This record gives sequence, C-alpha cells and structure tokens, in this order.
Amino acid sequence: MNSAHASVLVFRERLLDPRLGGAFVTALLSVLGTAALEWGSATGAIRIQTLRIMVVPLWAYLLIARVAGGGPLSSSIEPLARVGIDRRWSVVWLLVMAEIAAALSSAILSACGWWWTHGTSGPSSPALGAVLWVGATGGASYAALIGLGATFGRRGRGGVILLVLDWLLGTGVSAMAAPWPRAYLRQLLGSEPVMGLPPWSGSLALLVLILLSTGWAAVRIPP
Amino acid sequence: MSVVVLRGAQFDLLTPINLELGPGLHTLLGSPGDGSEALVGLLAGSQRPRSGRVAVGGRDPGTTPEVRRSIASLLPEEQLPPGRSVLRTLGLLLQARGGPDPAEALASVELSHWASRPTATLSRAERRALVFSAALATRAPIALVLYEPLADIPGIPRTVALQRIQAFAAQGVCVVCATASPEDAMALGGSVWLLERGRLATRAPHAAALFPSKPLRWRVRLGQPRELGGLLLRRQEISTIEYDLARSPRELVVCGVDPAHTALIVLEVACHAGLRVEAIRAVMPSLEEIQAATAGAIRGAYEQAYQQAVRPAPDPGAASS
Repeated sequence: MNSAHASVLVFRERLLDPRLGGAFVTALLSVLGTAALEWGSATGAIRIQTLRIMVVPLWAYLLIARVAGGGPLSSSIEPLARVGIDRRWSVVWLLVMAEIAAALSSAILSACGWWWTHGTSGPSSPALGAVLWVGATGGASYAALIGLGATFGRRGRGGVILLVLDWLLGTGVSAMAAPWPRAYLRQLLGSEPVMGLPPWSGSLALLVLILLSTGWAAVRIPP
Repeated sequence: MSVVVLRGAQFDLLTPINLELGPGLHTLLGSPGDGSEALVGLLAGSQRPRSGRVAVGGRDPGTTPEVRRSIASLLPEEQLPPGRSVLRTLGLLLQARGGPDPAEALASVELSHWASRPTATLSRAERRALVFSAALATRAPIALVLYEPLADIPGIPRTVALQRIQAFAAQGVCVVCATASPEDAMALGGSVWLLERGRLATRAPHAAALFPSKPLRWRVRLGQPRELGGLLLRRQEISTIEYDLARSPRELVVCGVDPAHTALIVLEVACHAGLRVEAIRAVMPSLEEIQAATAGAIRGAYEQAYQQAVRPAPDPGAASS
C-alpha cells in the first residue's frame, strides 16, 4: 500500500456519508429555489451567480470538513501514517481528490442554476461552458483554500478563518483582495477586475491559488 | 547499542527528557499526568517534540515513514483506518507494513471470533485491542512502544499479551511499555523508569526495587474474616489488621513485622482453626506511594550530600591535642 492507495481508501469512506449527500441536495435546492423565484426576471442570472458565490464556499467547507473527519486534515490519514504511510503525500492526494470533487459538484450546481434560468434573462445569460468553468475553478479553489486552513489549529478550524477573510476581503479590488478566490470569481462573473488585471487573468489567478494552497498545505504536514 | 534516543525532547506535559534505551524490556511507570501518554506518542511518531530530538533506530519516527513502519505501537486512543469489518481493517494495517495474513494475526491473540464484526461497533477499548493485535503481528520491528498493554484490552488474554511482549524482548527488540499500574510493571519485568510530573525521576533494575520499604501487606479472602482476624491479633508477628465490613466483608488486609513470613503465618493460623482461605495475595503499593517514596529517597540523598559538603573540615590541631 502506498500513500495514493491509502488516500483513495480514506476519501472513498469519507465521501460515502449520507449527510454529505444531504448537504449537496440542500445546496442544489437553494440554487434551484432562487432560480424559480427569479424566473423571468431580468436580473435572475445575476442573482443566481451571486448565490453561487455564497453556496460554493459553504459546500467546499462541508466537503473538506468531512474529508478531514472534524479534525486537522492529516488526522484522517493518521491511523495509516502510524504504520508507515507518508503523511505529506497522502494529504496531497486527499486534497487533490477533494478539489476534483468540489470542482465537479460546483460545476453541477452552476449548470443546474444556468439551465433553470436559461433563456429567461436574454443576452445577459452566459454560455454554459463559461458557467461550468467558473463553477469548477471556484469549487476547486475554495476546497484548496479551506484544505490549507484545515492544517492550522489543533482541530483544523483554520478553514473557518480563511473563509471569513475571503468574504471580508474578497469583495474588494485592491491588493488586499488578491489572495482570495472570491475576488477572482466576481471578476469572472463580470465585476471589476482585481488590481486592474485583464479579465482573462481571473482563471489563471484561481489556478495559481489552487496550486499555492495545495503546496503550502503539503509543506505544513511532516512526512 | 541504543535503539531509542531522546535528547532534550519536550512535548505537552514532558519537561526536556534525555533517555537512551537499548534492546530488551523497559517499563515507564507513570500516569498520563506524569507524561506517559506524551512520551509514547513521541516514540510512536504520532507526535513531534516542541524542542529536542527523538530517534528510533537512528531516525526520527515523526518524519520518517520507514521508521514508523518498523515501530509496533499502541496508543491510549486509537482511530482505525477505513474498513467495514475487523478483518478488513486489520488487513489494511498489516498490508501497509507488509505483515502476515490478518486472520492469522487475529488467531494468534485469540480474537478470531471478531473477524466478521463491523468495525463501527468496536468500543474504544476494542479498537485498542485490534491495533494491539496488529502491533504484535509486526514482522522484525525495531521497537515496540505500547501504552497500557496489559490493561483495558478486551478479548486478548493477559497471559497471551505478556508472553508475546516478553518474546519480542527476548529476541532483542527494544520494548517500551508505559503503565500506571505497579502490578503490571511487576508482571512485565525488565528495567523500570519512574515518571513523575513530566520528568524521569529514577531508574530501577526491576519494579520491586522502587517499592517503598514499608512492610508489605497481604489481602486475604475467606468466608470468616472476623474469626481469622481475632486469631491473628494474638500473634506478635502481625502488626496491623484492616477489616472493612461495608466495602469488603470477606477480606482482611494483614501487615506483619516480617513481610516474607506474614503470608505463612496467616495460612498457619487459618489451618489450625479450620478456616478455608480462598485467596491470598500481596497488596502492591500504589503509584503515588512509589512516587512519594522515591521523592523522599532523592531528597534524603540530596540533604545528606549537602550536609557533607557544608560540614566544616575537622581541625587538625584539635585532633592532635
């Protein structure tokens, strides 16, 4: 058994939790519900996007909290680390799988919201491809950020602090907003770019944030 | 050759500790409040010291997966890897180490009947028993680091656990057992390190050497304790008799002038009176009594050395006159 195998075992066990499925259905219903309320409204698509920016981080937080098992991120792998599995690589694999799961599920949430309102908001409705891309990068970047946060603190509660900071600072366009995914998600959804960067830089910045957060989390965990 | 080395290692309740342990059996006698849990966590590689260095087989178990693979450990609290049944979970633990067949490992500690049991139904103590069975099945370990291996382990007979631990020690493996029970320390054998409030107070070649020098007491169990107590009171060799009607109506605690002969005197008196003794066993001193006695001995030695150091040298002139 190697670290990748160990991570897959842990991730599969943690993901097969009915409570997590319930949380995803709740997130989906909240997106669809808002879409239903805004049916036919000219601002419907914008409201759905705004809601998505709130739902995706919360969903990513629940996902990481479940993967970490309510403690620090490395605690989920600790029983196998004790018998010789590399903690660092296991956590990297675990985080990558959580990022992929968050990206897929957030893309599904975004697509459902888009499908519900498609055609009702006229030219302001974005293309499906763009919606999927924003949903996926948003989900993955939040999973990476909260995963990094889960390596801080005795109980891995650093993710909450990072989430609050993201909500507080990510709404700006100054340098203070640069480390937070929210700023780039807003940019991709049509808001003012962070520090006057070109509009396409939002996707690149989110990918860089994912890499940096995952790398930092790996450095923080001993082998 | 030292297998386990701690140099100024500090963590949680532990003050900086220096310790070197070679092959064989070593018992750390102390409560969790004395730092035994922290010390076991450091040696097992599940914790890292705040300062100082820990090495097992020359490398840090906290940062070296290969070393952890060769350390068979049992912690106070055990979480299990994912696995629906006990057999599958144990298989994962052994597979990571390249160990034997899990069914074989369960059979060797008489836990075969647990094989199909769902892991989720295991209690805290049963999880420890399962991890203990994995630890005992480790092939060619560098060290065994076990927290309370003879207590709170349901399912595994005490004699089996004891035999397996002592067999590892006899093969030249460094076995470190932490316990708060002087009785278990006696049963385990090997050298004993007394932990007290986060520091290593003293070392003894065996547990009995740490016991306070006050007379040993014997707990006697029989049907007519009052009759026996009355008879024993007439014997000069018996110094005290304790009888608690409310808590232990069938037990006497007897203390004699000569600890070695007290049990024989009790049996002789009971035999003459036709009383049937069901059990007789020595009452071990508690951990607190051992720690207090050791602290007293250390203080006594210190004061003696201090008095010798400050005592004025005899005047040579006065001696000659």
